[in-house]
Amino acid sequence: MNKKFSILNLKQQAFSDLLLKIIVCSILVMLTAAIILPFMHIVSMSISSKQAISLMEVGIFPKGANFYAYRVVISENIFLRSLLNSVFYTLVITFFALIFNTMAAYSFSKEFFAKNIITYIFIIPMYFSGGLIPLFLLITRYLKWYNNYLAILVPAMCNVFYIIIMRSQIELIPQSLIEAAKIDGAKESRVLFSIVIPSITPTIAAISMFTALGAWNSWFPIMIYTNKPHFWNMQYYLRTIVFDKSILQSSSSFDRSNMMGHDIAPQNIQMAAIVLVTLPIVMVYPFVQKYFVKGMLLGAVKE
Amino acid sequence: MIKIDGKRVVMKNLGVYVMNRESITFPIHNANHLVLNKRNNILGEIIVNNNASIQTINNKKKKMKFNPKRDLPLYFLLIPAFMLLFVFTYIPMYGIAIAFKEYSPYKGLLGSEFVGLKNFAFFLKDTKFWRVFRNTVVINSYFLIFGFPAPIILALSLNELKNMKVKKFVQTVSYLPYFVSWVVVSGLVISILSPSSGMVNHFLKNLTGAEPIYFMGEQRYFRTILVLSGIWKDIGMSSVYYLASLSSVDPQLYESATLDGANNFQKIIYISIPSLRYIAIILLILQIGNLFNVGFEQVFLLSNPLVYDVGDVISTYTYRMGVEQAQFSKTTAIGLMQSILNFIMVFNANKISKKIAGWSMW
Repeated sequence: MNKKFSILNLKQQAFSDLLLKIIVCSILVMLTAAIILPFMHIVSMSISSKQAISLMEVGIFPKGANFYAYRVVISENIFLRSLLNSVFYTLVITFFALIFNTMAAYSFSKEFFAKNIITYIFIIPMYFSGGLIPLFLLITRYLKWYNNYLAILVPAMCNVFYIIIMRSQIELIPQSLIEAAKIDGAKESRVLFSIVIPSITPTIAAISMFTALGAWNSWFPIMIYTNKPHFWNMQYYLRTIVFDKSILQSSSSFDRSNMMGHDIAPQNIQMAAIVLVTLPIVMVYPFVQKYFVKGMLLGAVKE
Repeated sequence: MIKIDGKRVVMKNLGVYVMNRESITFPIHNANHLVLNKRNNILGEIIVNNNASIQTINNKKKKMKFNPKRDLPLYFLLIPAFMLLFVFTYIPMYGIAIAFKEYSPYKGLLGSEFVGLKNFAFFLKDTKFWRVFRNTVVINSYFLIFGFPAPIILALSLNELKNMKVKKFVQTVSYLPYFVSWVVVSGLVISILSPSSGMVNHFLKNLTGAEPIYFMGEQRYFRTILVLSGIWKDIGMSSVYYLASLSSVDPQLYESATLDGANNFQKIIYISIPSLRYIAIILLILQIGNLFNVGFEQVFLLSNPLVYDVGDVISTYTYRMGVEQAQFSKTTAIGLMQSILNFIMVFNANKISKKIAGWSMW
């Protein structure tokens, strides 16, 4: 009886472990499919024939493959302009944000007169803001930055949250290391560049990645502070392509004469644009994801 | 292991209070821990480094006096960040005055007529405002109910995978949506749900022969689409917090549970899930603190006039009324009310978090 019971128990255990395995696998397979399938659908749509699209025959595999839509998108001036703008915005914002944030973080890691008050001045905007409209009026009416690159670039150059994370990383550097360097005759600037910055390089890398991703993916300032296509970045370009259907029909700002020769549906163009805008991210992110994971954990544990 | 006799150490980042013990093992390295006496006065700070060496800093506050040689270079380093903050956050705070005036662009802020709380009274009586207010709270509650457990389930599932290569692959795939912008995500959502060519309608047609459904235009689907796309975008990166907590669980716990005859379900329920409770409480409280804040980009890009009844939220309403229709005073009043509500929520969330988990943003 007893022996039978324990065998039954073992069987139950094996069964429950198998059940768990099935549940875990189905959760993970479903999630992976939910992420990969939409991307496959978009790619297939971008290269399928007009006929297959209109008959709703395209699922996750292409039908009647052709690459005309890509040729059309890439040959458009506005696409190249947007690509260049995206690169320009990302580089400028990341560069200045990194310098300004590191400077402030280093300063906050030291003791100085009125540090408490200044810290509060920096922290309050994280929790209370004047809202969208006063900022909009400030930039468009008082600074007169409407249709100006400064409106897109300058407000993105400071992030208090990143300053706090960097400061707590700088504070982790052993004081003995810095004092030893000072005894050896190193000046403050030497300490900053030879000890502090090298020891927080992983943090700096993570934070610049977050800043760069934010700048690359941003489009809201472009929507509210500009109204000319030559300010567009990739995201805003895609927004106009996907959400403003009139643009696909009119030829006012777009040269679509070379579309005529081929059999292309509007969906081809839209999907090709989505693929081209997503492509840089998809190519880069597997190599930088570890910095983001590290950055997320830094933000969670130390604030 | 360190010895602090008769004092208590607050693990600031984990919120574990260990009192009056001879020695303590620190669960988190590379972190600051405060040493307190029984009256909660700070006696000093311990920094536990990666290599488990320990440093004590005496935190006795001395009155600082202004010392130009020491202070001026440090002030100089703060100038750029300070200027940016001042111009782009503090001047707009002054601009809140618009909410109490009948702002006219020609007269300027000072010249505009003062009307007291008229703008507030106006939107409090406006049914459209209450519609977006309700939508904001309802959508956020859905995010709380369905979005909050999702990354926990993913992390627990990933933790059960023994094959490291598969685990790495699934993780990498799950991070992808975090990296693409909301413009791309909403483009994806709108295309796969499109009634004329979308993948979902394609499969529905092939499987059941059903008529295509215009998902984006139907009110009953809109909130589901918002919540699902939100989960889709964030689940991978949010699971990072939970995976980190799971990886810090002592493997011996699992081994001894196996010896005691626990099956894998029991191990999850009695070992894995309890190990997540601190981080889960912190993230839950933070999310509740954002109850009046729905991500603008997502709602703005996915919604359309057909679904405003269920999908329009405070931030998109403010944008349309303020920037597009130039009703500056009324929308600033709404923005101010939202800021105040937010502040109250976050402030209290922090207080609760400090009490329950011993962790706060300050």
